[in-house]
Order: sequence, then C-alpha cells, then structure tokens
Amino acid sequence: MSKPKIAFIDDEERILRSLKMHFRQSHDVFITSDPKAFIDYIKNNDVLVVISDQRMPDKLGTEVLREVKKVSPNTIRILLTGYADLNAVVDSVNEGEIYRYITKPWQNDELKKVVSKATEIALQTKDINHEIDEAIALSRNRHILILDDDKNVFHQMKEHFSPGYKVSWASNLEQAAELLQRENFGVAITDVRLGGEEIAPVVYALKNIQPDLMMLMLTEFKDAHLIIDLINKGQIYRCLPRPTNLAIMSISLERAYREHEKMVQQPILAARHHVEEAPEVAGFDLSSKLKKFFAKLKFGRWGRA
Amino acid sequence: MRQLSPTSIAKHFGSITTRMLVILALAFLLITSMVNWVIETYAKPRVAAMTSESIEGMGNEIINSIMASINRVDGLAHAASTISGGLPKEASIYQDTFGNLMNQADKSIVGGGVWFDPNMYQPGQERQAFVWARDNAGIMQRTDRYITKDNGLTPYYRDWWYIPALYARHDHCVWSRAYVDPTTNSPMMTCAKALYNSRNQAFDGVVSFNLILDNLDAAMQAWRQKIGGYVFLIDLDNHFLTFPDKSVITYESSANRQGEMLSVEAFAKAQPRFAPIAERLTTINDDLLDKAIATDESRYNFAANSIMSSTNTGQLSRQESKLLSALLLLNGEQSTNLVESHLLDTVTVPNDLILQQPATAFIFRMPFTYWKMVIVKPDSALTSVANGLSNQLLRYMLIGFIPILLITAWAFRNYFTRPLRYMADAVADMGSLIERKQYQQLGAHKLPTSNVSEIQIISEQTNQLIDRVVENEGALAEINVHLEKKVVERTQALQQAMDELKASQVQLVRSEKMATLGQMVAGVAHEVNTPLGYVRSNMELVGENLSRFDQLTQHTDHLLTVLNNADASSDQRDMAIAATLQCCTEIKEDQVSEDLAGLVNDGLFGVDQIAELVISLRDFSRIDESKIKDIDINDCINTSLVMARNQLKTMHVITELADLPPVQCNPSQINQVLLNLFNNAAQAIPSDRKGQLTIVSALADEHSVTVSVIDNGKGMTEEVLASIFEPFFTTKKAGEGTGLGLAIAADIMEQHGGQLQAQSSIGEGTRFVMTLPIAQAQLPAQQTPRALFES
Repeated sequence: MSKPKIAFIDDEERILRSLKMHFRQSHDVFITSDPKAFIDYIKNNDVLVVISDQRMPDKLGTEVLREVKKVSPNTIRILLTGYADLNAVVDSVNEGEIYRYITKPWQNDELKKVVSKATEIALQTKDINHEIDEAIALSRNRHILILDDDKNVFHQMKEHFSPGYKVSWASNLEQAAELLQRENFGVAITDVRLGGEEIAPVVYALKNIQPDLMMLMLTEFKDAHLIIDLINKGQIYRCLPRPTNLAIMSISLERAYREHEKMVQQPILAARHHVEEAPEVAGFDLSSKLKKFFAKLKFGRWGRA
Repeated sequence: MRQLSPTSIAKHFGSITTRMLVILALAFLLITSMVNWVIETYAKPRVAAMTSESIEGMGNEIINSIMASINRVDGLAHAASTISGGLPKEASIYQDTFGNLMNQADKSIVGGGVWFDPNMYQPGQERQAFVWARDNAGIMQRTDRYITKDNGLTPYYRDWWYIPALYARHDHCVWSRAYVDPTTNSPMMTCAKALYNSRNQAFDGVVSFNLILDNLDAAMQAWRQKIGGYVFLIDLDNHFLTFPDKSVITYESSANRQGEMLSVEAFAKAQPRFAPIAERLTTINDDLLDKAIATDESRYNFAANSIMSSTNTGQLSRQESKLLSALLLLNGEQSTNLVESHLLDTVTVPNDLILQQPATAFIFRMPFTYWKMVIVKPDSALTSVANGLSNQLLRYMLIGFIPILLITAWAFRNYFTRPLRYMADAVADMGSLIERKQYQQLGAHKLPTSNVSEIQIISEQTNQLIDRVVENEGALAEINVHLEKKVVERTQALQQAMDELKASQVQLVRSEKMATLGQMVAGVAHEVNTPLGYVRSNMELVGENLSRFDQLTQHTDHLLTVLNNADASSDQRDMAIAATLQCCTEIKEDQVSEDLAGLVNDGLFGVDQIAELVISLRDFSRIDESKIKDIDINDCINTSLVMARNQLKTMHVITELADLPPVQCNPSQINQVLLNLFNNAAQAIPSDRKGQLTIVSALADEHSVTVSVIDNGKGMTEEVLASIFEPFFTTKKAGEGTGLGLAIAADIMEQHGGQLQAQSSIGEGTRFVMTLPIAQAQLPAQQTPRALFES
C-alpha cells in the first residue's frame, strides 16, 4: 500500500524542505510555493491532508483552502501560520472550514500527531458522499437551540426562522443542559459569553460529546486566539459577527443544518469533527456552574445511552 | 453779530412753536388770498354793478327833473295854444291873456308868445305876433321887433324853430335845438306848439316859449359833485348843451356871434379821445332815423322834405330836419313814463379826455326831446368801493392776525411746547443717567403726568420703558455677576480640559507610537517565526539524523571490541564488519550527510535571517545611538523595508536607490516615517490587485535629497488628500487607527527642515515625497521636543 498523500504550500521553501523531511517517511509529500501548482496537484491526486501557510505573496492561505475545498471536499485542511490575524482566522472557519489552525513555530511531534490523526480521519471518510437524502432530511423536524442572555435575540430568531425550525431558548447553562438532555438539536446558536461568563469550554465539551451538533458562534470579533481555540477544540461550524445580519444567519443556519443532516445520515463523518481532548480535564479553572452543567449533561447522556 | 449757520437755522425752524407760527402764517396768507379772490371775482363786479345802478338811478333823476321843467313848458304851451285857438283875433285880448301868462311864468321861461302864419291873423297881414321877453331886470316886456319887416331878420314863419311845429302831429310842443339868445346872451331853446283855429281847425300859427338853459349848467355842476366824474347834455342833433369846460365846445359862427355849440362829431374830430362817446351818440341818432323810416317812410320823407324846403336856407341842416321829422313821427306814439329808465347804453372809454383815466360813459336819453345825457365816471371810482372794502378787510385781518399769532404762540408755548420741553429735559436726564449706568436713580426721574393726552401717552410709555430698563439692567447686572463667576468657573474648567487634552494628546501620541510599534513587532514576530519554525524543525531532524551516526559509532565500537577480542570468532568479526558497513551504506544511501548539511545550511540561513531582523530592529530603533547622526538614507529605506516585510509580503517591491551623500538626521524618526508610508501603501492595495511599491531615492539638488514612496493602490479623493496630514483624520474604522500617523510623519519632516508631500489619483495610486535637507540648519536634538513627539 502506497503512502498517504499530503501536500504543503508555503512561500518559504526552507519550511517546505523541513516539513517534507519530517513526513517523507510516513507520507507521500508534495511541496510547492505556487498556489496554481498546488491546486493542480490536488485535483489530480488523492490528497488526504493539505497544510497551507496564510501569508503568501500571491494568495492568502484561506483563499487556497477554499479552492481546495471546492476541488476536493474530502481533503482535510490545516492552516499553518506565523501570525494570528483575526480576518484570517474568521475566514478560515467560514470559508475554509478547516480542521486545525496551527501557529508557527510548531512542535514537530505535535504537528505530526495532528497530521497523522487527520490522515487517519481522511482515510476513514475519504469515500463519503456529500449528497444527502433530501427525503429523509425533510422528514425530520429541525430543532435549534439558542443560548443567549437576551430574550429579544430569541424572539427575533423565532420570528425569523419559524416555522421551518423549532426554536428553543436557554438563558443559562442549567436550562441548556436540561434542553440538551431532553431534545435532539441539530444546530446551536450561541455567544461565547453567557451570564457574564465565557462558555468556550462548554462548546468544546458539547462537540466532544455530541459531534453532530453544529455550532454557530456569535462573537464581537475581538479575540483571534479565542476563535483559534474554538476551531481547534470546538470545531465550530461558523463564526458570525455580533450584531449579526439575519439574512447571513439564515444562510449559515441552512448550511449548518445540512451538515448536521449529513452527519446524521453518515455517522462516520463525525470523525471529521474530531476535537482535541475535552477540557474538563485539568488545566481549566471551571466555575461551579460549569461543573454542574457537565455533571448533569454527562449523567443525562450516560442515562440515555 | 450772531451768525446763523444752516444747522442753527434748521434748529430754529425745527422748534415746534416756529413751525406752528409758520403754519399759521401760511394759513392766514391762504385765507387772505381767498378773501381777496372772492372780492375780486364776486364782490367787485357786484359793487361795480351796484354803483352803475346808483348812477343809473341818479341819471334817471336828473332826466326826470329836466323832464319836469320841459313838461311844465309843454303843458304851458299846450294850454296857451288851446286858449289862443278860441280867442278872437284881437290884439288887446292876446295882449292881456298872454301878458298875464308870461308875467306869471317862472324864471326859467325867458320869453315866448303867439306867432301867426301870414294872413291868418288878418288876411293880407303878413306878420303878426304877440311876443314877450324878459329885460335885463328879469321883467317880461312886450317886444315887436320880430314883426318889423326890416329888422334884418328872417321872417319868423320861415324860421327853423317854427316850421317843425307846423308838421307836428301830436299835442306836444316841438323843441328846438339849443341856441344862444341874441338878446339875453344866454343859452336857451324854444318850445313851439302849433296853433289851430278852434272853429275850422286851420293852422293859425305857433305858440312858443323860450326856456333858459342856464340852470342846466348849474344842475349839471351840482350833479357832477354828487356823482363824481362829470355830466354833460347833448341835444337832439348831438350838439352840446352843457360841458364841464364850456370853452372847448363853443365856437363863434357868422350867424351867431355869441358862439354856437359844437356837435359831438366835430368835437370828436378835434379830440380823438372823445370818439368812443361820439360814435355811440351818432349811432343812437341813426337808430332813431332807421326807426322812423321803418314806421312810416313816406310820412317821414314828406315831413323831412317839407321842413327842409319850408325853412330858410342855411338855418336848418339836412340832418336836423330828418331828426325832427323822425321825432315828429315817433313822439306821437310815445307817452311820458317817469318810471322807465332812460339809460340807453354804457360806453367804455379807454382813456377819458377830462378824467385822464379809464372811464365808463353812461348815456341817457330824454323822451320827446331826444336829448342825451352822458355821465362819465372813472372806472376807479366804480371799483373804489370794492377796493376800499377789500383793502379795509385785509387791513383789519392783518391787524387782527398779529395778536392772534402772538396769542397762539403764547398758548402754544404754554400749553404744548413747555410740557414737551419739560418731558424732553426729563428724558435727557434719563439718558445721562443711563449713560452713567446709574439705573437705580432712574426711578426718581420718571416723567410727570400731563393733561395733554398725547404727551401723557408718551409719558406713560416712556415710564414703562424706564421700568423695563431698570428691571432689565438689574437683571443684567445680576447676570453680569453670575457671568463673571461662570467665566471664572469655565476658565478653570477649560484650563482643566486643556490640561487633560494635553495629557490625552501625549497619551494619543504614545498610543499611536505603541500601535505602530505593535504592528511592527507583530510583523517582525511573524518574520522571526518563519525561520524559527524551520530552524527548530531542522534541529529536531538533525538530532534524528545524528542518531544514525550514533548507530554507526555503536557498530564501529562493537567491531573494535570484536576485533580486539582475541576470543572472537571470524564469523563474529565478519558479522560485525558487515553490520558496520551496512550501517555506513544505509547512511550513505539515505543521504543522511547531505540531509544534515542541507538542514544545517538551512538552519544557518534561518539564524542569519533572524540575526538580520534583529539587526534591522536595532538599526530601526537606534536606541543605543546618538539621536542625530550622518546617515545614508538608503540604509534607512532598507531597514524599514525589512521591518515592513511582513506587511509588504503580498506586494512587489521595487527600489531605485541613487548614491546619496550622508544626511544629517534622526534616523529612528526617518525610519518611523518610512515605515508609516510603507504600511499605508500596503493597506491601500485593493484585494483584487497585485500590489506594487516603488521606492525611489534621489539627490534633489546639492542641498537636499528626496525619497518617493509610490503605490498602485486605491488612491484618495481630493477631500481626503487635503486632510491626511491633519491630526485625528483617518479613513479607517473607529478603533483601527488613531489618525495621527501621517500627522506625526509630516511633523518629523518639518522638524528636520524638510517636508512631506502627497499626490494621488483615484484608482491609480498615491505618491508620497519626502524632502530632506542634507545639513540641518538647527539640530532637532537641540530643540525643545514638541508635545507631539515627546518620548
């Protein structure tokens, strides 16, 4: 069996050389500085994983990855960049739908771990169909969860998205936990803050427990690193500005629900939404509220399982 | 002498009293002229008409008085003729009867008698007359001188006074023309009445009476006194009977030594100024003739011819005969009417002969005799009454006006001007109080009440005004105090704000610096991250590869041990040699050495890159050098380009750097400007375009260098271009830029005695040109640093 194919693009050829030397034993590595050659190679080869730099003289990494997604949707996309540029981060979520966002300088073994995992997932899911069974999809009720302090947000969304979607609202984590136990949601729309507290760990945990729950994040676009974490640990599906535009929200919601439906119909796809280890383990100073939430949620899941 | 300037005249005229008096005078003038006009237009003609009427009345009176004596004579003649008609033709009877009659006759009758036609007293007797005349003593004496045949006189029955009576067909006597009696030498005229025989109605002769006209003159003189002007009488044939100056109208004729009266025509010829009256008198006679002709032409002609032919030649003019005939014809139909006015006409005389001025002639006509009386009155006399009236009126008005004027002026001053003046003074007082800002005293200077309602209104209004002024000024004063307090407070607040502003300005400059620094550091960090990334990775790889040599060393060690061990079998030796060789071959095959060399080379390159960045960072900041030094601006450009490399990564950078002399400047500040321009250029590139940045350095002249920074970005509108060097102006979103970058850059250039200029065109790009003097006139380091660049 031939080695899995991966491809790197960067404007600095020494990086490419170094990376190639790293992966040449385990992978069939293609390196280039030219975006056109890169896309051509991906078109003509079964490339499982691509890794792109963000800042290049001719094209931005997010643009390259968007094209990769178009020509080869099953290829897993990773961004390797030296600089946490907020626009780049947001674009990488919304347009590149990337698997990981990795900053330079990298640790070779960690990179290797991520690429290996990605290669494994890609191999598992390389034959999946991106079409969904519309009939099944339509037969299911669409149920979304709004996690927000502001009741007006809920009312606005309910008004806008009913009756296509059943809209539920939770203004705190307890309500959210109850609702998540009871109901089966396809999409959650949430801010990174709830009740004055950052709930990113909740997002990470939820994705860990329920990979088919698509996350739409509403944020004021201030902290690039938070979004990077949300990508790497929460695999959020979209990141939308707050205050948001309902039309954009509507499109995002529709896509998110289709993605959810895809995952429900082909559970193997859940692997693609693999996230790093759940954060309840040490390193996170969780508030008692969050702890309660996880306890409740786990219990619920456990019980249901 | 007091001089009257126009203003003082205006001032004088400006006083209400003067104006009032002028108005009064004007009104008086108007009234006077109206009165005058009324007098001239209505009163004068009316008065003149009245005068004329009075003259007419007087004229009629004169006529009537003359008529009275004429009528008396006429009656006497009538009675005498009636008596004589029946008397037997006896001398004693006539002598007694007529003698008595004559003696009883009044003084004006100076003679008369009975004259028989030839053969009528006694057949065969040619002449018989009983005639009386007054002697010098005024006593009637019988005279026979007319009967005497050889008295040298014309026979009486052919005389000019006798004949017309023969033809008279009425009961009145026929009046002769006036003449001067040869015996008495006084003017007289004769009334002749035909004498008819009472038995057979045959013409027997004529009864005559002589009327002396002496008293006419006196009467005329008397009337003249009464009427004014002058009066004169004209007989039937337009010969003068009387005239104020008799000498001018009498002449001596052969027939009459005492003097004959002139006819008006003759007089007019001598005195043309009399012509208007004469002409009119002539036409009156012509009218009479025409009337007679119209009445009965044949009888008139017969009478005229008969009288003419019967009368002795030369004694009667043709005209006189005609007139007499006409009169004989017409008088029969006429009766005496005392009521009727005898005024026939008035004639305007432009310049009268006697009066020597314009005059009016009133022409009267006497019935029966057809005498004419003319009253000539000067026009001035006619209008004198009216003139006198109007003059008097005006005089009284004038006399009356002055006291009225004085009283009015006095009253005006007293009741109107004085309150006004009083008020004006009070207002002036107020004005001076207001001027001196003594508003509180205004209350004591209010205007008094006045009984003149208008002034009272002004007073009330002014007082209200003053109240308001006092009120407002009080409020104003209060406000002023508050205001001053406020101003102090505000000034303090402003000072505080100013201080805060200064502080925040420093803060802003600092934050701009930090932002630029942050951007630069982030860019540099990224630039460092790239080589750092592969150097680190390469080091790991070197470590991995080095383990292969460790393996080789182990193999070599094992081989040595085996070789040194005498107990070792040859197989063992061969295996050890083979393992070592294989390891060596594998290393060779895997090109580990080459890999290592590459990795190390790349690593060294990366480290050099990092070193370059660090050096550039140091060069950029020059933190460890003196602030001012001579430096090649191209070095600054290169250093700044390295610092901006990350931002410029997507752009094509072209540098055209000329050889430049060292420039005296603060390099870190110049670098700051350059970096700012490069970053701006990078941000100006639209996403759909390949960016290009051109940096050109050149020697502008021997004193300065220029650095042009040219991009092919979006460009700027003129409005934006005009404001880019203003502090806080930014086209970026709020929070993304301080708007101080270019303001600081421009200021740095100015501090260096240079300048920063910008040109731009929309869609094509922007060019910034830095101009720097080679030598600094004054070293910026010695200047006190300005707030904007306080570090």
